[in-house]
Amino acid sequence: MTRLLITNFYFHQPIGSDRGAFDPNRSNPRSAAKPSLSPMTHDPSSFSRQVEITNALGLHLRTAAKFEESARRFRADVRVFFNGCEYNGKSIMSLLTMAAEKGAMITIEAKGDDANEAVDVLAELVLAKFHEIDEELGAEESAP
Amino acid sequence: MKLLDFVSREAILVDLDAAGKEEAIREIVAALCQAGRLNVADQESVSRAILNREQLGSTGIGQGVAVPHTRHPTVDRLVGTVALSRGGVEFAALDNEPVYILFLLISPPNQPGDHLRALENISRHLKDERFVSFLRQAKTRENVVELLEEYDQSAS
Repeated sequence: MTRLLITNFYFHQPIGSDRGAFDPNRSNPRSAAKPSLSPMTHDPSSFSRQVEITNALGLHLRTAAKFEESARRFRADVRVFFNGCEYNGKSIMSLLTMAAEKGAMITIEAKGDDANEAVDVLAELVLAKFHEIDEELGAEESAP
Repeated sequence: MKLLDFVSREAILVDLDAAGKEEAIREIVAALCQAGRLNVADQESVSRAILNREQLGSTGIGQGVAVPHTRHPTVDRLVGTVALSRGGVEFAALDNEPVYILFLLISPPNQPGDHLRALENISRHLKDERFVSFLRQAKTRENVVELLEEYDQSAS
């Protein structure tokens, strides 16, 4: 019996000692934005929605300016999560450091009394391709 | 992508003559032509395209910085440079302040990713107040190149 207990004791030793160690792959090395594991979801005044960027040119300057302008109409704090990093939805400079191309899945999160409306309006803006005439790159790519 | 991957060293301007948006853009495009990065035959067409883009909304993104740009078939890879203004250029910037640093970019029509990565690189550096301060203090083209090299190395 004693031997069995000892065996069990060794069996329950922790496996590996690197749990909780910082994972360098989590942060985007190209970005100075602070790494974040997941959007806040527990707060009742916090809303979030994941959307795909579908306009051909991605989140370039003009589209980032539109996003910032829309976000600033709300009192809520607006954050965007992409590739494990967090960006300020009310700062064009921050949004531009996302370098989010067509196909990028981003999560828009707002926190505050008009957060729900902010998330809806901003998600619709992205889904509406920022109300820009979507320039078809395919035709140019196949041209000689 | 590094700053000096798209900033043409020979076209860097450290003391723009222009005080207005159109003159500033024409001056920088002319510098790119003189540096051999653009065909002189396309100088007017490129300047026009950049000015047309400005009409959709100023690329003066605040903090004294503008990023005038266009897509144009005359280039087959991203071409650009940086220009500094001592007196400031009226650029109808988003914060209504004059601009002192201009990054001008010309992208091939079908490579939106490179354009986004250049914007990412520029805005990431511009969030660093020391970088902006050093850049504005640069007196010569060599000063600018040294600064960009230093920051390119520390970012990699």
